Amino acid sequence: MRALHELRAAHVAVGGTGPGRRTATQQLNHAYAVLVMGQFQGFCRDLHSEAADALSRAVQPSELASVFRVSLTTARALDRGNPTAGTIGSDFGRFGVQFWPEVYEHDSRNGGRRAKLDALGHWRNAIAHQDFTASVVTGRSLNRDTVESWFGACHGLAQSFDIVVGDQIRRLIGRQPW
Amino acid sequence: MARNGSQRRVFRPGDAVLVRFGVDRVPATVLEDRGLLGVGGRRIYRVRVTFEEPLDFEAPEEDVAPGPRRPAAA
Repeated sequence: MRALHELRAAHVAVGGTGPGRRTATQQLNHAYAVLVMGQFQGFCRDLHSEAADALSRAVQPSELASVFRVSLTTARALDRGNPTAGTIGSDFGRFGVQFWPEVYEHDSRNGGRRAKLDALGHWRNAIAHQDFTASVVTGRSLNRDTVESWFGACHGLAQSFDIVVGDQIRRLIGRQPW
Repeated sequence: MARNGSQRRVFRPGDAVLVRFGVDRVPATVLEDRGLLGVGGRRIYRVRVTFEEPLDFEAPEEDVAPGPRRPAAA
């Protein structure tokens, strides 16, 4: 989170109206978008790890718990790739929940937030691979307001994810996990 | 999510360890210290066990023990 604030401060610091400013702010916006995606991926991974531990801890005997834990945390898509809607849904689906329908039900704004997450994912890939030929990004520049709206969407999704996953673990183990 | 606990880190990425795997403890390598994400703030490690293919998964610190030391270089 601190890194995001520092990048916002850097954006403000690149002042003036000179010809180099637009290029500089565009690079900052690219970095900002990649950082938002990275932070959101970290949140999703941590939430998954925490839920997997809470769930497997409730399994007895401990030998069975270790087998259970392996199945929950191996080959997790969030460890390898972007937190797309698909990877999020499949990884959290291991907890026996239809993840996105529950997320939509929790907050009606989450459909729009998911669309923003998709857009962020397209831009993140374009920036990371320096390939701007995809139709959703080609010929477009990225401004700070857009990145901040993605950040807000990720923040809102994170709050819903935390509640949806926590509720599902509670239903499974019979107590609030966090 | 909840956060608490302040246990010091015992293992670092690259350390050879033994990790509980069903009824056995098997050799593994620490890939990542995931931090104090576990129940009650217990530390979680991401480890790799190599059978025919590598198998990466997470384990709480209580399931991880020091592995056999490598022989010192001559």
